[in-house]
Amino acid sequence: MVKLLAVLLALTALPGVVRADDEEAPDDGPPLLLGFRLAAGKLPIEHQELTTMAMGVDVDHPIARRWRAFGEYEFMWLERDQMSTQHGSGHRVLAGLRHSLVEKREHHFRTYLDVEAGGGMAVVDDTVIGVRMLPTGFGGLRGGYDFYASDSPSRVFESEVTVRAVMVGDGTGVMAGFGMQWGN
Amino acid sequence: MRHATPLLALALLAAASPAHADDDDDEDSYFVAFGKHTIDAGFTGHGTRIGGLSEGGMGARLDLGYGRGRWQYTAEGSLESSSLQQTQTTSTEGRRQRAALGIRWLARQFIPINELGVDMYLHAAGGISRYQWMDSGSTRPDVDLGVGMAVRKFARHDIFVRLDLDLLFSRGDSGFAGGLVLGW
Repeated sequence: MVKLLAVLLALTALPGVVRADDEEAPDDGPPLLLGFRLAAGKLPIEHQELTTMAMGVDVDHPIARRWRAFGEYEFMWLERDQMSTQHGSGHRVLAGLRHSLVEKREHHFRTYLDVEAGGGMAVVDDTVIGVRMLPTGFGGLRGGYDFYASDSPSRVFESEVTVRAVMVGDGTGVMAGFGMQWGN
Repeated sequence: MRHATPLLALALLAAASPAHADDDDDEDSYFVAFGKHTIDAGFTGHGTRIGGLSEGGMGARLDLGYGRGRWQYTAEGSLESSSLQQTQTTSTEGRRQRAALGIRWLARQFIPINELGVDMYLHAAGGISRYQWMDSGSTRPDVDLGVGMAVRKFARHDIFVRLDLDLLFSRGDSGFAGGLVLGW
């Protein structure tokens, strides 16, 4: 788990693997992105792999040329067995940084691959383990595309896929999801 | 914990919205407002728990909307199947009828070309669901909170396709509801 996090942090510190085109985004200020995401995966809680589904909202803001800071809130459903009465739900708040590894811009269209890492806290309420606080770390990749339209109320529309290793006290799980974001 | 998400989401919706949905507001003037009167219909589905048992179904929905600037007030109705999982191999079949009143806020709007927009909404609704199974029934108040996106063709009467994703809360149980509708 520590090695995985170290590798991801090292990746974020590297300069871009592939240099982006020199063409800059429309110069009308960095957009504050707002969007939503659906995700699913497995989380190890109390030494058991729980099927986890999540739906959440996120905000995202550029802080440097290839860096963005983001925050997320997710509501989670935890399932041991779909037919079982043993189940739970939870809330998760995360914050992190993402760094663009690869990006390719063509006029108002851009594709990208980012690496990301961060952490936060989850609170789960489960019929077996009760209420538990779960300090959470994560690292992963997200790739997608965005469009720019400088005279639109939202100047950016972004669609993306994420794959994350999610580290909680009992081990490391994996979550994958897709989302959309709109700039201001 | 049980009521935290609805309260948090309502607080976020209230905080995110301007004090008055004034059509003359500077920021609002960039947006293409909701149509004053809209009607949409399509498919819907839900999955939740009732008394600790998995329950879910699919069906049809019909929404009526009254728009004012970036706000839309809705009357929502649906008729769906309902399958209540009794054991791992048996379920009780029935139907679910729901009526609700809601509000939708146009949070973001991306307009890549003049007559087409990609909208993001925040949505909240409160309603009553009536479940009828073979030999039993249940009437449950519920609240749904969620997000949505729509592709809208601007015209005298807009035409749109909208995807809704909602968290569904009822008497301490949480679930998921989604829908895809066509409207004008």
